[in-house]
Amino acid sequence: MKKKIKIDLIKTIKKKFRYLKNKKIVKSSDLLKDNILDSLELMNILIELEKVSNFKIKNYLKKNKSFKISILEKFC
Amino acid sequence: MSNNKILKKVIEEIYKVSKLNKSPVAIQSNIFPLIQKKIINNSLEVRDLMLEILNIFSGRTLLMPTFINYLDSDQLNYKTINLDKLKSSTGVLSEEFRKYKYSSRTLSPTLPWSIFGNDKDYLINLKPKIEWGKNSVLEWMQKKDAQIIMIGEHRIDNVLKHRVELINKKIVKYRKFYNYRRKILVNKKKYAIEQKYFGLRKDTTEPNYEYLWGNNFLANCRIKNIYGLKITSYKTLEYMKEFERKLKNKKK
Repeated sequence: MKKKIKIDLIKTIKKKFRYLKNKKIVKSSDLLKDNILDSLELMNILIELEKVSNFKIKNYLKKNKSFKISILEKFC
Repeated sequence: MSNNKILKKVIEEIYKVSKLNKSPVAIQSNIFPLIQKKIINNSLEVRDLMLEILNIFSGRTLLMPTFINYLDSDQLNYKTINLDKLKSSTGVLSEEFRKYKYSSRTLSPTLPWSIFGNDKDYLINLKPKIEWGKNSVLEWMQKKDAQIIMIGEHRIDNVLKHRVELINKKIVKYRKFYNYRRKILVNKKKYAIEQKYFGLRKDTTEPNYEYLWGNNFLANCRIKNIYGLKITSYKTLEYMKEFERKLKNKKK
C-alpha cells in the first residue's frame, strides 16, 4: 500500500496542463462540469493520482459522480 | 471482452441504429464510460471513432452540438468569439468533429452546431432572430424529422427540449426572453449577431426534467447497455411530441 500523501491537485493540474496556468481553479471547482478538463485529460490526471497515491479510480467512481477538487484530494 | 471488441460492438450498435432511416442525423455524446474503462485512451482514438461514425452516416447530413459554456461576461460582451478556435464543451467526440477539416460551425455565439454533409452550406448560413426559433438548426431538424442518436447521454439532456419550451413559451414560466449582441468569427468571417434567447429567469432554477419525463418515455426505443454506455435513437418529431405532452401535463 502506498503511503498517504497530501496532494495539491490544483498545482498538479496546472503543472500538467500549462494552458491552465492562469485559469481560476478553486477547491470547490468540478473538473468536468466547470470545463477545466475534458474527459480524456481528467482520466489522465486520475491515472496519475493512482500512481502517486492511494487513489483508486474504480472506488472513486463507485462513490462519486462529480469531480470536485476537494473530494478528489480526500481520496488520495 | 477485449477493448477492441467492445469498441467494435459500440460501432456495430451505432451502425444498427443508422439503418432505421435516411434523414439527417444529430449526435449528442458522452463517451466518458469508454474513457473510464480505458477503451478509449487518447484523442487519436476518439478521432478514429469519429471517422467510423462519419463512414456509417456517409451520404447523410451529420450534426453535433459544439456548444461553448465557459466564456465569462467580459468575453461574451466585449470580445470577438472565435468559433474557429474555441473548444466544444459538449464532449471530446464533438470536439474531434469540430476539428475535422470538412465540418463547419453554425452562426451562434455559444450554441453552435458543427455540420458535415449535403446541407452544411445551408445550415451554416442560418441567422435565426431567436435561438431555437424560426430559421434555427433545431427548427430545421424538426422540419426534416432528423434522427437523434444519443451516445451515453441521458434523454433529458436532449437539446430539442428547448425548442419545445420555446414553442410552448406561454406555459413555460421559468424562462424569459433576453436580448444580446455578440461579435463572432466563424469560417474565417466576422459577424455581429443580435439575437433573442429564451433563457432561465434569474430567480429560478431549471425544472427537474427527469421528473417531468416520468419513467415511461419511449419505452420501445433502442437501448443497449455496453459497460454503462447507452445508445438511444429516436426521431425528432416523436421526441418533441412526447416532451410537449409531458410539459403540458405538468402544468395541469
